[in-house]
Amino acid sequence: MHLPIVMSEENYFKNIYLSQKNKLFRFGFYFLKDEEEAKDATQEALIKIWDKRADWESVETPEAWSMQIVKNICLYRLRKKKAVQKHQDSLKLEKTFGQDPGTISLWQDQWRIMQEVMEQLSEKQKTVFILREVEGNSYQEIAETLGISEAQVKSDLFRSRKFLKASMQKINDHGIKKTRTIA
Amino acid sequence: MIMVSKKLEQSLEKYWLGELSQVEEFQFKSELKANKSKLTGELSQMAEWFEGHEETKRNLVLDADFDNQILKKIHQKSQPKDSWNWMKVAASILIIFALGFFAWWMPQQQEQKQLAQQEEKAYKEAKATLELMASMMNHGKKHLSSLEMINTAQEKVKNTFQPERKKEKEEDS
Repeated sequence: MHLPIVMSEENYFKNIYLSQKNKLFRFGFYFLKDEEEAKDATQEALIKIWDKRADWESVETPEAWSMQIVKNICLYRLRKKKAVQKHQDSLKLEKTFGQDPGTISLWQDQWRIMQEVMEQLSEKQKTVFILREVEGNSYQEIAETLGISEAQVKSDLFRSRKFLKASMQKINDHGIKKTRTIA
Repeated sequence: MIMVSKKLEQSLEKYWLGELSQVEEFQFKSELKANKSKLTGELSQMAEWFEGHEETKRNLVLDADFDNQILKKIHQKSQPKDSWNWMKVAASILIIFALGFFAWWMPQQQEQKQLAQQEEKAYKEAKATLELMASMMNHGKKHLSSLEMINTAQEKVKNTFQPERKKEKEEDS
């Protein structure tokens, strides 16, 4: 990647990284299951990207790089959340985890299926699943984001789709009851 | 419709196996969307699944103010950091100079204090200084003595030639 001489760092940041904010936000949302937290994670990631502007020239695919940053931030937040939850459990506090997305209009069944599938996947497989199912990224893009081979991406996707099929089948067997959550 | 359904079912099978390319997957989704009302069973469910994703994509967006917040934070972060860096450099230089000065000044002060406290040492130091001065002055004296030798030689020459000149003058007159 070459930084155009005429483009200032700020303009480059706006055009290449800030323009991806919604994609990063959605990615964070599926991981963190919370809109506000996903927003914070996106903000944190973009600021981190700005702080690492000395590395921009060595970044070959900015999209994959920014996704990696968001993913790491989400995983860190999840670990922290899990630790807090563990502590809360030990204090016998009420669980607040795994709530519906609340303010977002989303098919409840779809959300349930998503969560059911994702619970059975590893962090890497989750990322593959989100990037393909939600964002519609190509195998190559996903492979670059995760630093794995395309064959590995296909294998992870196959595995996640197997879970997806099973979850859909389960819902089908119990009868589809489509409801919308409205803010 | 049967043909379409068959084709869609074939695509669905490929989809489950992860064998659809990005373009094929896009076509599959478009066809599901276009025929949604006519679909039943798994295909209908899949059409809803994909539609749900599209809706999520439309709804899960950050507000326009988000950009301003980020840019504001970036500006806040970069500006004070620069001046702070300059301040750090200036402070480091100042500290280095101050330490250097004290490293040079303190031993001297201590030596002087020690001299003042120990009379014998002070006497020896003064004596050595005076001897040094004396030797330097004597060194100058040698040069003076050579000058004196020139003066003596001049006097001698004068005394030798002046009586002869007097005689010559008397003879001329």
